[in-house]
Amino acid sequence: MRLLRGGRVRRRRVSYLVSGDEQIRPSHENLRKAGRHVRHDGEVNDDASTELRGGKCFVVIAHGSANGTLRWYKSSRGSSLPWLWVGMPNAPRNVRLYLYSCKAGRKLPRYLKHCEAFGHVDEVPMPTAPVEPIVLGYLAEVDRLVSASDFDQSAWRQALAAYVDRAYVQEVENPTGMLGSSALLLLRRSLGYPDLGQKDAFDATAPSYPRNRTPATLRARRRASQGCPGPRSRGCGKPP
Amino acid sequence: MRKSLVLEFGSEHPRAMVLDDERHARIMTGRALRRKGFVVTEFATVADFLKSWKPGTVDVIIADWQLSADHADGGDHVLERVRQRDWDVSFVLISGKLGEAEDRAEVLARLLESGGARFVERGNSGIAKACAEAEALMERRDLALLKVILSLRAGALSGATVQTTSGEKVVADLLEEVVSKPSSSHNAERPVANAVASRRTRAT
Repeated sequence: MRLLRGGRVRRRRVSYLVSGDEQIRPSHENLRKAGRHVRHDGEVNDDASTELRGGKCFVVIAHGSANGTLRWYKSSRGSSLPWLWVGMPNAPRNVRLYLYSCKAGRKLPRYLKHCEAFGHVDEVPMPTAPVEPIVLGYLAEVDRLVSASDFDQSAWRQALAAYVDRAYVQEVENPTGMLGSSALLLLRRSLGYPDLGQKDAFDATAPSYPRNRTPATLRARRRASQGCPGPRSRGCGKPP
Repeated sequence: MRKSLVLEFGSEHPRAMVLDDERHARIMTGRALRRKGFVVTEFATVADFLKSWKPGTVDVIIADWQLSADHADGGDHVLERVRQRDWDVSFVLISGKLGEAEDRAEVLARLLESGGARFVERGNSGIAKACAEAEALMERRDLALLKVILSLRAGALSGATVQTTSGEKVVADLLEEVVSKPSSSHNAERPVANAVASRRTRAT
């Protein structure tokens, strides 16, 4: 966290990149009305590494999936193309990315290892009516974290979950609208229930394998059965 | 209706479903529940009931045991199907013939196994007993979970959706996910339960 004279926190500007998908509209307008800096649809470069320049902070709102692909829809093109994905060449570096996209947090942040990336593990509600005020309130909390604090995925998740839980309890006990608690429940779920007390709640979504049946052990066994040495035998002088 | 239930439901009315192929019994049960303040929907067949029932949208189901000649349509089998999608809804099985039936033990075992279910023998004040059992079961429900269910219910009943980046999330589906398994319910209710508990601790 960078401090200014007088102990004030130095805040970085957060840019919102919002895909042009029909189901995401009119999130970009609502975010602009709420005073956010937004780049939308065709204003965003097709190449993510060109758009996501080093040292900046972005909140990305686009169609995400559990396999770690984020798709960008351009209305001029009339279709969506993968924009960020696991295994992409020339992945962005040195940017702070908050992936406010469904399920994008399951695999993508781990792949974007040269970025400070954070994502959600389940569906996220859009800042559109009738849950617009609730989601904008949540995104204000996101802005606060993304622009000021040091990156710590676990601490961010705890802070965001604490905010969501407070709002959720309020909404359940004194509803302000018909869908407020639904939106907050989706947010709570998409943060991976950090209050489960696990070391890393996101691990709850990762597949669990029985002992000696992990992909690595199975690969090693297959290699051994085919007479190939495993990775550990590399460099040991034995012929392959 | 019992005071505790009135307090728990606040401005909402508890909802009940009555499943009975005998018209007279169905109407009488529905009337008794309405008099107590329930919003009641009545069904004569299992098919109609299953078509209409959405998990989390009712607080109690009162079903007859012998609904048709088909044994698979028995009230206890309905309960089994209900429990596959809603682990917590209160269920009252009502019958005048089960007392004589050979499979009484089997049916009662099924009720016991499912939890949150009671059996009432039809006959003298059978309907009143069924309503009282329904209220007793509802009183025993987890208050935090009930609050969560009630907060989602209006959206679920109106067919509302929440926009997400991958399309629209139907609130009725979200509610069904919440009540489908104890673990999902606990995940959904935990902050509310914690808040209630901390308020109680402060009060004492």
